[in-house]
Amino acid sequence: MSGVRSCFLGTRGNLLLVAFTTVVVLLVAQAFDYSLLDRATSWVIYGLLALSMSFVWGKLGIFSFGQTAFFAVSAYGYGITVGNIGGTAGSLVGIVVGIGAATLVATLLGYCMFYGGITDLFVAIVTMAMTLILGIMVTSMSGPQWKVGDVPIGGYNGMAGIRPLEFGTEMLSGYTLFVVVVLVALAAYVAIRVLLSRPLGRIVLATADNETRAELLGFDVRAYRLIGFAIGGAVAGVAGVLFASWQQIVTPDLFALSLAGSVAIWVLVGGRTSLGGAFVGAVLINAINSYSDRLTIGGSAPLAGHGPIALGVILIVFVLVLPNGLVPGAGSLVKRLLNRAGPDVSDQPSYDLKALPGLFPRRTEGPVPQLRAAAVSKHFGGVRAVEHVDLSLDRGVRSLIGPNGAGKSTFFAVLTGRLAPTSGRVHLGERDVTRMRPYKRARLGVGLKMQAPCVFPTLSVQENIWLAAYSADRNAARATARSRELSGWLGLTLPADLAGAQSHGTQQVLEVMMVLAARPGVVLLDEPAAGMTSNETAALADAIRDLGRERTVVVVEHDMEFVESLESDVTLLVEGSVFLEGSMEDLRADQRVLDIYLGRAVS
Amino acid sequence: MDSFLNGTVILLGTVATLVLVAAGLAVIFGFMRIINFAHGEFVALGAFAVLVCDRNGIPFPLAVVIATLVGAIFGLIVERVLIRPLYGRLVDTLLVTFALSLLLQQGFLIGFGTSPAGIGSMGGSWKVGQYSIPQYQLFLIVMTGVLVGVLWWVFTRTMYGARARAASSASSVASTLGMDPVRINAATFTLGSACAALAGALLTPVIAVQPFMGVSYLPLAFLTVVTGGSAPLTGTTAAGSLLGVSQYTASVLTNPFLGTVAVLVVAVVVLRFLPRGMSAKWRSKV
Repeated sequence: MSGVRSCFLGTRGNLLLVAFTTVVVLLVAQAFDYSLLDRATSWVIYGLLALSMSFVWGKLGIFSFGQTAFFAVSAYGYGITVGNIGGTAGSLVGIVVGIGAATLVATLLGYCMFYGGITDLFVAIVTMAMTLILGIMVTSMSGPQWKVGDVPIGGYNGMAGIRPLEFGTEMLSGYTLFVVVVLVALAAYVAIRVLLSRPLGRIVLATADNETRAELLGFDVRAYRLIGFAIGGAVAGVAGVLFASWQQIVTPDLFALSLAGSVAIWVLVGGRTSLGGAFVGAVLINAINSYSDRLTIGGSAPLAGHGPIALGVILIVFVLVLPNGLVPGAGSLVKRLLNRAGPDVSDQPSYDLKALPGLFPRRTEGPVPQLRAAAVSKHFGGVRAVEHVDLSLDRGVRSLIGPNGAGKSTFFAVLTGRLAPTSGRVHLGERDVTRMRPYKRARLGVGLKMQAPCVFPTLSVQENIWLAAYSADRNAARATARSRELSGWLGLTLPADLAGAQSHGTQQVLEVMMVLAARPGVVLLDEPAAGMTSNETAALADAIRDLGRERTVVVVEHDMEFVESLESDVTLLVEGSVFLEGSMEDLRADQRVLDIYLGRAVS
Repeated sequence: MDSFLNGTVILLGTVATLVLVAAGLAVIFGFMRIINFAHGEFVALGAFAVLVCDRNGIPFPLAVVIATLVGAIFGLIVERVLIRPLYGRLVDTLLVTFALSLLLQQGFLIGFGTSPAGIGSMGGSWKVGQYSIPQYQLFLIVMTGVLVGVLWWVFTRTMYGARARAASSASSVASTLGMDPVRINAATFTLGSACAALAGALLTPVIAVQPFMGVSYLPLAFLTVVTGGSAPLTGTTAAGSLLGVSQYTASVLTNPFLGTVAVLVVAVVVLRFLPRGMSAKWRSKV
């Protein structure tokens, strides 16, 4: 996943290389004969299709077999349009209809999948089934009754005689078509790169990196997935229009599993995390296929028609031996040769935790709303993790303690909306938020630091903080300034300072900073002191007391010294229920508390 | 009455075919969380095995047994060479099995050519009023019931079944209890492959056998398994029934084309509301 990062803060050198490659390709292609030029055009179109796949798979983290379906839908849409409307107008409308249809299908499918909660492998299966069944549908649309305007769908034989793109008097063909295809591909590549460097793209990358953290920062993961998926569909749609214009016939073969799988192979060979790799993979594999078909030895063509065998072997070899693909592989090789690799281990950061609250300005959002649990229960089958808890959380620090399995983290999960309670209500101020999704509660000012560090591991520390700061007021410039400031305080400002590579303690601090940078009124901290040195723990306690002056801070901890130093009210949870509320002295005076912690039976 | 009986047999036949073809995929997916993209080709492998046996004069029942064994042995080898190195890498496993499906298709193509072959129909048919009900159709329905019953018995009543369920619900716990997940998974993949080949073998009398036949079974089998959810047997059977009824009803009311569409629509709607499939909240995990 390290490649996810490589385009996050786009590098100028990379774009120069791409521009240079484009110019060279365009110049060299002038020397191609007609047949080679024709094939090369299709390879670049396939590269564009692969680009949509590597965006969806490599950047969005969604393995989709649907890219060819969007591609084919667009090709059919273009074909139908230019068959009914001639001339330049037809081409322009055809482009809009083709890309629009692809985007629409992707949006509908994406909505059903992401809002329905379908993830991972199931997305692969559902997209594949949709592709194949669309293919079956189109195949069975044969005969004169299946026509749109003047254009028959053509069933198994496909839709023939599609007019190529035309502008004014010129129909695009030969070298002109090749130039247009290459430039469109370049534009799509640059557009995706730009998109990924914008807030929208950064959030999309973040949802792929750590869905939970993205949701807890107030980003609607489903919506960003859907947007990303629709953009991927649109890019596939662009490729579909160009394909229909180039081949001038479209058949249901475009929906076949072999093409859907081939796109995955191109992307895998080129490298799924590299957008440029999509073109490398598509051109390379198609060129190999094309030449192996034409290879003649003694008058016969031994490999003709058996391209799938080569594909299968290449796929197996890459998956087993080189799963990162060619371009990321080559990239790391070049880096090693030039010896430009960043420091392997970042210097131990030096920061003073006591200064932490000073970094976060006074809240300006008005009074902190009360977070209230009313008779909240959460059962897992027969396990009563949380049982009838009534708790009102107001400004100030509150410690939540209890033995392992007392239901503390589950209670936090119910408060933040990560789990729905079995019964009971959760209120935030005047609002009943029991059924509200986590991202909405986060936007209302509920922040959670999870028990195990939950950051964006393959993004840099600065990018992590940027996302948190951006979630507070959706201002990119302010977020950038803020992330510079805060990552500077941590001493981790380099793009190579990946959050996932930091020590446990630093990740804890980073997560606390991210929670605070989102400017919540209610801060839930699940074991913030775990993995910290005793000096750090003491400083953290000071910081938390300071934060509690104008926020609601709830701390779950096992370290009793730490809890004591918070000088807060303490709530003791035992077996899912509130056992005792009071000060630390009250608890210490209660013999039953000692019994619970020592595992003695409590009457 | 006659038309009702006839319709019932056709409906049950549709359901049985879905369940039969999806069973092997369901076993592998349900207990290993692995998507076997070459599943359709495993089905085709069973059909080709029967075809070869038939050409060599081996009687059909024996041919079915041989085909099932061929599927089992092939599955065992595939698990060892391709699946085992990729445990935990779900998408990579999917891609490798896709590559395998390409290779198998080309293998069938080289070995048998493109023209469809068959072994001719089995059994006669019963006259019910104006309808004739093929006996083999009834046999297929019964065999599907038997297969589901045997799998149920294997997964609920045998030591292997208990281990397979344990390994799929908590692999690390199972291994600390002294079970060997690698061997259990090998057995599960072999069993799933054998089921696929058996399905292909049993269908041989009623289909045209050709190298790319697997592709036509794959989407329906996938949808059945996904719609069924985490319980491989009960979920798949329930989903097979729901999708089969949808397909049959839409086909009868309109045309076969809309029948196929109905399967997709029903599956997507079910998954929209039950993203983890019909059996997600069932007590049964088999």
